[in-house]
Amino acid sequence: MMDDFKVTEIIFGPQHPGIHGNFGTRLELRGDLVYRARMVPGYLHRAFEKLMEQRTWMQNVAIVPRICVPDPDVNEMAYSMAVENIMGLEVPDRANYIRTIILELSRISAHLMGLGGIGGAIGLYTLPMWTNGDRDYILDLFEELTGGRVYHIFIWPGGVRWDIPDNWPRKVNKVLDHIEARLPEYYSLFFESKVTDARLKGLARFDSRWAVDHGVTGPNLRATGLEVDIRRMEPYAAYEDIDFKVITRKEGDGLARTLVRWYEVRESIRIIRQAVEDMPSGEIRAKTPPPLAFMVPPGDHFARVESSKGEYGYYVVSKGGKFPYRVHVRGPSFTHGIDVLEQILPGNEISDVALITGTLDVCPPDIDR
Amino acid sequence: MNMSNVVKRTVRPFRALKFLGRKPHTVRIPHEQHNDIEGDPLPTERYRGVHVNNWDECISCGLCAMVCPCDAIEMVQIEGEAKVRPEVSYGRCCFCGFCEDVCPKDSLHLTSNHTMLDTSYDTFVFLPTPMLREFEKEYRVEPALLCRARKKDDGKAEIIVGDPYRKVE
Amino acid sequence: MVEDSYDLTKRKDERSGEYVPEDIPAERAADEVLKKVPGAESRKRKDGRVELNVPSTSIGSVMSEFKRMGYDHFVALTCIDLIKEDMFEMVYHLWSYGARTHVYVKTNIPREDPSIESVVEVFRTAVTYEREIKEMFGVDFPGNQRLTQFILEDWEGPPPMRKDFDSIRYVQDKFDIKVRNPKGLPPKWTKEGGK
Repeated sequence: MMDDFKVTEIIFGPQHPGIHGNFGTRLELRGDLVYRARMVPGYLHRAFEKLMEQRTWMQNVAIVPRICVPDPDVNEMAYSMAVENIMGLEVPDRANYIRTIILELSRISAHLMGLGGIGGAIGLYTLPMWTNGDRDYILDLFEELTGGRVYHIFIWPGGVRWDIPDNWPRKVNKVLDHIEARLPEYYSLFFESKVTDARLKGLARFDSRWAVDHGVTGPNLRATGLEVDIRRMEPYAAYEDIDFKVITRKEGDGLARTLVRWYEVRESIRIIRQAVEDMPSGEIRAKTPPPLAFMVPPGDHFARVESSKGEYGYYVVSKGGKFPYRVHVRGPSFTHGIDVLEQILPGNEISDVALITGTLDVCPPDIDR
Repeated sequence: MNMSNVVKRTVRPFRALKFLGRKPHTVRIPHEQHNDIEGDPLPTERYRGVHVNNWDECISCGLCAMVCPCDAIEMVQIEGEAKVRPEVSYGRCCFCGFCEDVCPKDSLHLTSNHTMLDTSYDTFVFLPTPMLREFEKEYRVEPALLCRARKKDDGKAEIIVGDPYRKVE
Repeated sequence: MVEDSYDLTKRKDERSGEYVPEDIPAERAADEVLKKVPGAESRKRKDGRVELNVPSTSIGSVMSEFKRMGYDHFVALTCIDLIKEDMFEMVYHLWSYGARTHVYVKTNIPREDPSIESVVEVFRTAVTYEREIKEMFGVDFPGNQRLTQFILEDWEGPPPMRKDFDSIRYVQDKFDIKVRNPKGLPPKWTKEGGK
């Protein structure tokens, strides 16, 4: 059937309002359906891995958040976890709780942006306007704590940089109340609409066996029925002491992936409220060498963190000395954005290409680094 | 699915129209003041903005230049000054704040000023000037021109708008 | 270069099935591998994980053995340029959802004409990692048909992630960039030594 149609090849390129980030796609179309897709990454290549070999251990903390834009704190966290494990540092409890709050706030803001991206790809532009407006309150919170809205440079090896201001926990609770009141409105706008059902139900469905064989991680894997979450499998920060649910759905299609993200925002709000209430007192940082003479003994370690997009990992190799020998960044979109997309796009219409990319939450900066 | 369910799901999303009657979410900076959710003004004191440097305290150790991850600070010699002073290039600076943290005399400081406008890009490679508290508050919301400071004979600093300094090559 | 073909009916069958994780601890899986593969050694690291060192010719059988034992999430593939010892070190990271442990499989290949057998038949996820390493380090993976250009466009120089490619010199020559603080420059790694 597909051989009767006219063959076209288009470049759904990096400069297009429908693509999330700077990411090119070469599509070969038969009529309206995609026959073959080839991804063209590389527009955001800034050579981070080579650059990190030429900066000292503490200077790298300022460079590392820029690898992933919507969710920058996971980079600082994974890098610090790897360095602390090689050095044998023990992070104090208060620093662990502050790190947990920062990571969960970052997860909420990244999920809000992801939901907005899916709404925009359908054509419902009200949803990105709403979610980006509510995300602004979270960025204001970050600014009051760390001094910067998007790139925080706050989590570093040993603990966190400064202590929280006195009125900050009250403001966190106010922002969480506001977002919790808005979540049913998002639900009734987006998920109770028949247009969403028609576009997202059954879109790019895969099973859990296929997903694990192709390296799918994070909310995309939880939407196929597997209950896996790095915060439960290999706990870090304060997640061992906090009570939360792992959200799964059974269907494995686009609607399930979007619903998992909506429910995870609610779970994150519960986690932050618990962490703010149970915050212990104590030190902010462990004892570390001075920043200009920061030496790390030889060794290597792979540290992983559950980011809003999937499994984020840093493999740090040290040969002693002031500079790292090799840092390898494993981003979740490296597997989602290239091979998985090239295999599930054929057979779909061209109007669904941006939508499938959005439901998988592909973030091009962590493909190119 | 029954008729009432179909009708409900077609009509429900239109409840979002109630926001047409409310005040818009947008804050028109700099004509309006940007506040956080409780009404406190932003940016706060912790905000990492434009540099200032107190030349009475600065001992020209050069640690800020050593720790900068972006290679943005250079210690330069100025005509008429005995010590070298840090010069910052805003083409490279990433506003991480490490230079402020490492300064042993607490003389280099990142203010909460985040607006800087000029028509030529040579002004963005500049020497952070001595710290003056009233000066900093005045230029908080309006666009700020870059000013230099010079030490007069009685030891006080004098603000000169747009006066270029001369570097010793 | 021959590329993959697309048969939509075939893909549908591969997609069916529910995943059942297997719970085999890392030490037992490592012992099974050591029995089957001569020349391999394993040790327990300081952080509690297991690390294996295998000869580079037996990497295919090691990978299929681990996959059979339930270590079927291929996390990453790292290449490290050990210029002083004149070899590349390839580190394969595997994870098991059942046993919740991470395993490192390390192997060495010579730095002259580097090439190692591809593991794409065992782990499909490795296809993009091998493509990136071919571009950045110059290591060849016979058996992988998708080793096309990945990130660098119109690049004619040597593989840039190797230690003997001086990126600071390249940037200064090509773009006329001034180094503002020369005391902060990192040292250069060379074959003779230096750190």
